[in-house]
Amino acid sequence: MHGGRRVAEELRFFLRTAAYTVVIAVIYWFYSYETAGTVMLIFVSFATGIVVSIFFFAVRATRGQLDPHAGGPLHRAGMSVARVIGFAEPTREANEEPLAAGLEPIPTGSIWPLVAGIGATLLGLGLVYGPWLLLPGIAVAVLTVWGWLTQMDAR
Amino acid sequence: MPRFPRRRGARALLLLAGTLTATALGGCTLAPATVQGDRVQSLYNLFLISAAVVFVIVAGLIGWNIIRYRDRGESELPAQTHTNLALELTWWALPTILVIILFTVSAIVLNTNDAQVSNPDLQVKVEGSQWQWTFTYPASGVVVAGTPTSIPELVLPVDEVIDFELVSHDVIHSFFIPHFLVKRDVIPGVDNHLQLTINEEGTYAGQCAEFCGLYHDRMLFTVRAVSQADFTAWLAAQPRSTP
Amino acid sequence: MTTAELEGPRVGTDHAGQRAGIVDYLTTTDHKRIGLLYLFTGIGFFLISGMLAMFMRAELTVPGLQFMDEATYNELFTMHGTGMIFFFASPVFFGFANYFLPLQIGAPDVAFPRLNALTYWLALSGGLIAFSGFFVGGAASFGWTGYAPLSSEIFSPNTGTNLWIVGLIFSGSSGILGAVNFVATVFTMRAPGMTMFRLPIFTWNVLVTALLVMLTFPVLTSALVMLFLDRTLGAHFFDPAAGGSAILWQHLFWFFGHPEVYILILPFFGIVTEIIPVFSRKPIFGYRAFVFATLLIGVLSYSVWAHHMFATGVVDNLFFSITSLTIAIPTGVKFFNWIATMFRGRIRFDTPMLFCIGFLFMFLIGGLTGPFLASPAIDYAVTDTYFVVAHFHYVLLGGSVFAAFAGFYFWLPKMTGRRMDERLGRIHFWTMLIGMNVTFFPMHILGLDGMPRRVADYPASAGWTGLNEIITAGSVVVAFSVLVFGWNLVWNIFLGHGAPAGDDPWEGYSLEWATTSPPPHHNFTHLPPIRSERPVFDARMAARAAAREAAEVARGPASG
Repeated sequence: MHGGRRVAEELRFFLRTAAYTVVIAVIYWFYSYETAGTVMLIFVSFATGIVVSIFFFAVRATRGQLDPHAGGPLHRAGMSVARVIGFAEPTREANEEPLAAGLEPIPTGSIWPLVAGIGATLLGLGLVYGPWLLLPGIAVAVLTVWGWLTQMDAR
Repeated sequence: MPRFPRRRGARALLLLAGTLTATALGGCTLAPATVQGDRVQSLYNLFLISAAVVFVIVAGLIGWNIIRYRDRGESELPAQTHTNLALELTWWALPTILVIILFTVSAIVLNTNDAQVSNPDLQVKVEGSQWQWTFTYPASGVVVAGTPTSIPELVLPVDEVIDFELVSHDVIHSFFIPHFLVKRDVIPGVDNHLQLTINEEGTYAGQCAEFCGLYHDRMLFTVRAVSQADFTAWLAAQPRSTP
Repeated sequence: MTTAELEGPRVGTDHAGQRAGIVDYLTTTDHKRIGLLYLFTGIGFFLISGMLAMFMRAELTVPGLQFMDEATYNELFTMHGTGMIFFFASPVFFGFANYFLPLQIGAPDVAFPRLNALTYWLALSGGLIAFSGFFVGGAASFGWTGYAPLSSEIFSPNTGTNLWIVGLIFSGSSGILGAVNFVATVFTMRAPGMTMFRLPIFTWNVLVTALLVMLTFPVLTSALVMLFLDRTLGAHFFDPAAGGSAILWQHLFWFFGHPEVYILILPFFGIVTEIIPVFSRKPIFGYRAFVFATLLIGVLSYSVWAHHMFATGVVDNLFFSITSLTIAIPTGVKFFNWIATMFRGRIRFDTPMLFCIGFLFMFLIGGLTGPFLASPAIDYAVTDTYFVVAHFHYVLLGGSVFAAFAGFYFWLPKMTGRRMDERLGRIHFWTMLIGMNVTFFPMHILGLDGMPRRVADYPASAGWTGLNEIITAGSVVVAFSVLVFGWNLVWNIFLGHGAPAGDDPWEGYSLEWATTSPPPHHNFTHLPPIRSERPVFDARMAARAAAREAAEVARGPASG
């Protein structure tokens, strides 16, 4: 192992789950031939794998270079594994900025979450009791989508 | 700042001692009546001893800390120790070793107990339905049916390999005899078999152990384990069910 | 102290002294207000679900049906479990996480504040919908686990079941959205200098819990949707007679259900790990290992689910036994880290620390009965009996609830600017500890004796009456202890008689103690430098060192 890109903790956070569940899914399948559990494990691996891919390709989730001279090859290999698992901190930590720069303005208050909740409640009860609740629920939901997306924040 | 006087520490230790005594008094399984149950009891006792040892060590450490290191009003901060690699590796290793031992013994008992023969000495069909049990001895056509007001008695011989075929007519039930230290779910659409060998004559209570609806708490049965000779005689004396 | 400091802020006011009204709470997107809404909603459902348990205990004290029929009893234990797990423990987690996650990372709010508010309204609505079953002909009555085919339209045709399903779908959706919010917040909104490995342990635990929620709640929600389709639109997912599978429900449910119990405990591990170092005057021992253990639990928890299904005979018991025994290792190791934190510390026994110590003992007992259940041969004997009921109440009540109370006593001063009464806190602690043990320890014995769970009544000949009487007595003590807490809360917090808390009443370590109590809108007017996992501790030490230096300089060279 000779240097290599430093993998951000955020990416490793999802990578561990993706790696473990895909390995366990394979072991579990050949051990038990049980479909439901295998499918669910693959689902977890797939879902976290999507996040890993997005981080890897679209976000600055790998940055900087590892120190190429730290220890012999066995030590570096061990440290790579330890880093993926999360037991060892990558070298040269310094001030790691968060993944996204810049902040959207923070809302000070909004009626739309409450309206959305009311709409969801009507929809949910409508599923149980029938269209006379379901239809108002749909109406409120449509209203919410419009209101939520068009709300300009007062600062 | 509230102090933690010595008598409170003593009270905590008393709680600890009481807990251990209670465990020793009540923490044992029922006396098993099957060959498989004997193995389960031994396994359980191993786990109980391990748990008790771990409890005494860990609770002892906690108790010692809260007595010995309580704040006495010193102004200096204690040493701000962040870690100790040797210590951490040790306390990862020791539980790992214990887990390996416990798993190995568990696996041996499980494989032995779950092993099934293809030619059991006696077949019994156990049918669970809301909310009574029906037992059938297919080889001789004898049926013992529970009703909502009467609990069925399942008569079984000792020292024979008995295969229970578990059939549900509606929801999931569970065939549970506490003195056998075993239960097996009775699942609609699943062909479950439980095999065991009774080695103690006696009368044992049985009960459904998977919540199955309104009168789940009334879905009881009893097991009467008798000698092989008595069993043959009993079976011969039962009325045959008309097909 | 100045007069203004002695008076302290009024409860429910923001930093400018404006009292928040109902409309403010209905339209809030402030994570702190949403956190308070979650916490008090959780307390409300705790009281309701606790009342259901008291009714259950009244009925079980002696054999015979004295107060209710089986139908009612079955609704009680179902909604007790559902209420406690989904509408108490989960909202309390979201409440503390909402309030303190942004503070601990130095952020002004969460990543998606309006979405955050929505998650609360969904959670509240879900709870109300699920419990409304009681008023429309009977709530769900098949246990919080909802096993098929008992939960089908054939065996549970009541509307209360449909409402239960919808209520849980709401709860799940709320959780998923909230979890996404938390992960996004931690990944994108940390203050400068707050690297991932300087995050407080509570934040780490919330992060891992959020990942578990995001990946497992969809499984539950899907299973609930499938059940709903079975019940209302003629699907047959779980109907064995038509080619479906009853076992499929169990796989789906427990794939969610086991990570769920880690979701229920990990944030509370985090709370305990915030409090023990502060009250031992030491840093957490083995920060890295602690994070590693938490990550390991989070990952391993996906592969243990079928230990709840050992007695079904249709899953591979050995596979799940080894994974379940393995997950005990990182869980157990944390005990050593907590003990080593206290070792050679200077331990203060304020109420938050008392509850943490109680947690340590109670979770130890609950944790030690876990391996028994992870050994299939032993599990065959004790599963579905009161042994399991004892186990999970020790880890949930002794674990999560004790830690939650520790969190309340620790953080209510920060959230409200008022301190709770220490003496009432101690009474609460001791009565709850004693009551809890008297209630749940005998259940181990009952389970070993063969008493099954979820039974409204039991035979007088079984010999279980004596222990049941003791258990009911213990539960009364627990109920009393909750009333003590309630009184403490009402008198000191809501009615404002508690002493003013100040910014940092406990000499805390993490960033929430670097701002006022309660924090202002957008949380911080300035941040201390973040160079370790204890920025407020570092700042306090630096200030003291500076003050000592200044005092020496002032005394002059002759005093040296």
